[in-house]
Amino acid sequence: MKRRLSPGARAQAGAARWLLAPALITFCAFSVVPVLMTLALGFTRYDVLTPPRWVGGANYADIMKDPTFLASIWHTFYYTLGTVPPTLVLGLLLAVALNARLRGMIVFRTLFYTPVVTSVVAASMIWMWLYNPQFGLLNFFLGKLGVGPQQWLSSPEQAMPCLMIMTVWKELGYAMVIYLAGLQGIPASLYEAAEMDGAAWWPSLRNVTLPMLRPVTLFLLVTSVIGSFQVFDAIYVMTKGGPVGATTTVVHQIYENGFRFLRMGRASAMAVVLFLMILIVSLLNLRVFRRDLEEVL
Amino acid sequence: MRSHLRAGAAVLLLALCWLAWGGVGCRGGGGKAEKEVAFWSSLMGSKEMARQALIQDFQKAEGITVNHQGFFDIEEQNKKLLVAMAGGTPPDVASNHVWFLARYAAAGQLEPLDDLMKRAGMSREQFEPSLMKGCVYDGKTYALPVFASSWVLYYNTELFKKAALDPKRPPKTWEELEDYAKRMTAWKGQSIQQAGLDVPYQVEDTMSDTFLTLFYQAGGEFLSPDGKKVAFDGPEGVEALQFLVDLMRKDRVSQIGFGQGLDQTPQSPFNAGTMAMSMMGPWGIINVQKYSPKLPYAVAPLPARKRAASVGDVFVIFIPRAAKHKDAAWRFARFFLDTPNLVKFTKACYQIPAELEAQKDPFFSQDPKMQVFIEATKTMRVNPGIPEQSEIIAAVQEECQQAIYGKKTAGQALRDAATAANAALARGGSG
Repeated sequence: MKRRLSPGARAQAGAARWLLAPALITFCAFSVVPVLMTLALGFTRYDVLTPPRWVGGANYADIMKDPTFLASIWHTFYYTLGTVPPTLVLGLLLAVALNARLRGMIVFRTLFYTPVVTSVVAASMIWMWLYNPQFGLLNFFLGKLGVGPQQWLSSPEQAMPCLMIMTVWKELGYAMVIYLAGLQGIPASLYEAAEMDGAAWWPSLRNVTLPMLRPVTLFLLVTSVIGSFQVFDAIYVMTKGGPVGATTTVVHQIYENGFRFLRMGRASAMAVVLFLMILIVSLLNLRVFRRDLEEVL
Repeated sequence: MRSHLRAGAAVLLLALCWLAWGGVGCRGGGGKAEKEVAFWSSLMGSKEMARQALIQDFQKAEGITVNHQGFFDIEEQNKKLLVAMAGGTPPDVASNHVWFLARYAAAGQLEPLDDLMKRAGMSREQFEPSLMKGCVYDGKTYALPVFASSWVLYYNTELFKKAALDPKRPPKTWEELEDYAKRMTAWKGQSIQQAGLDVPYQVEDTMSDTFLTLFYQAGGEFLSPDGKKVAFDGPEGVEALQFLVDLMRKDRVSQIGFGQGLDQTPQSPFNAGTMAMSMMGPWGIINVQKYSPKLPYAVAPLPARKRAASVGDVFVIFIPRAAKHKDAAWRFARFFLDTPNLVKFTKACYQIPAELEAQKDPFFSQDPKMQVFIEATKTMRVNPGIPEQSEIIAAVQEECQQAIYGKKTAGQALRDAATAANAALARGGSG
């Protein structure tokens, strides 16, 4: 049955449509349409200059046999494991420390948040200098400690951890600020109750803070995992996926195939695989945290 | 770290919208003399001043306004150009590296220049043949070479003297190169203090350029005679790559990570005097002038094997088929290539003019340093114009790095690169 709207409500609905239109049009033009086009292009061969040709599932069959792409999936998971848990744990610890109302905390908050608003390219350039084998500060300090110079970004084993360290440094402030907001929403009465029960710092963190922060953790986990699955800029600037392919990730492969080799169909298929990866991991996250989700909603 | 894909797609669409809009805005009136020309180039950085002067001269002489759009990166320009061509709104005239030409020509996106040249009394023979080669696709001329950066051997004369070597006698063979490099190398513990020779270790153009230079010197040809397969995995390729691997891993005349990220700084090893020899194009002169003007150095032809050869960069000028102001575009191209204008331009940025007449200018013909570069352009090899170039070169770079890092043997690395390259050739470069 169709609902009858009063003339006033109808006018309001009309206005709402107009007010929503700009946002919806841009959303469709820049998100929905490209996503649908990516899905379609994944089944074609397309070099931008000549019209796409339908090839069915050939791109998918091809990339699933491509050792470079399979390695890039593994590198993406490795990068995520090396960045998301440390960022969340350190972010939480920092937030707890900064939540203590001490003097000058605002200075520290600002300091830890600065990297978040720094451009990735600028940050990468600075870290490249830190990691420079000849002139870098890191090798300089290691030398003082009697440790020989390291290759850092030129080493297939060290390059990925180098990128991870930079990312944790860069993203830490964001997790910290979100956790701080969460901490401030925890009623003081809970801590008072814990104190009366004789709980010290660690038990009160474990039994009060952490459970109360579960929705915040869920939010951070889902968004950081998605973010790290899409890592590209730092890799493009610092290692270009090397050395010997040790830091190539899925998005880097999409870029290489799409924009360097003009294999847009293949790149689109990779993008769809990345989408499925993110979807599955996000669903897993939501499942683990289902209880909290119900609370939040 | 938001959605880069979405951002990328948005940028692409925005660019298309902008181009479509701009295209309507600057459509010339039919029949009337064209008063403006859209020119895209990567003539930036060390070439910026020279380009500005050229455009000013042209505007004054012809009364046509040049709307220049510059790109700092040749790949970046290539990408934008592809999008613009696909959208039917390319610039009127563009200048970029010869590498990308075959792709555009194969897709029918370029204006053949043969008739225009005939009418203007120009011929292919005006240009250095080795540089003209890459401008021809399927028998038609799709671009004209403007200037080239041929590679030569730069060497630090002070380090030569310290190692009791004669700076007047630079190495002429691979054996001498290896021997000299070893003599001028110094290590302290695990880190190199002074490298004898610049050995590439990163995935970048220097890697493929160095390998292919040695490969061509060893007598190799890029493609098999029928043009259906690559041929760099043959004995000449293995010889060339093994030489590089030995220099890095056995002779240890350089170290992985040495000079990383220091290009175009006073600290880059050659500029800082901690690298005895390096293979570079004429940009090396500008680098030394700018960052280390007191450095005692000289240039010499690259050491040879079976024959002299080098690869290098060739910049060309071309007119997209869908250009709106083709007449003005052709006038601009002719002006650029007119001998006095070309001499003025190339002198200002230390590049080698592709036109033979321009090479006779005293600046080039009487300067011994510039003569070395001019000589090098004569044996310069330009990789065959094939649309799959980017992908093949990327495979060469990746696999050479595997060998230099000691992860694969030279033979295995080249076989793997050839497998990838042949697959690309078999697909025929259409995505």
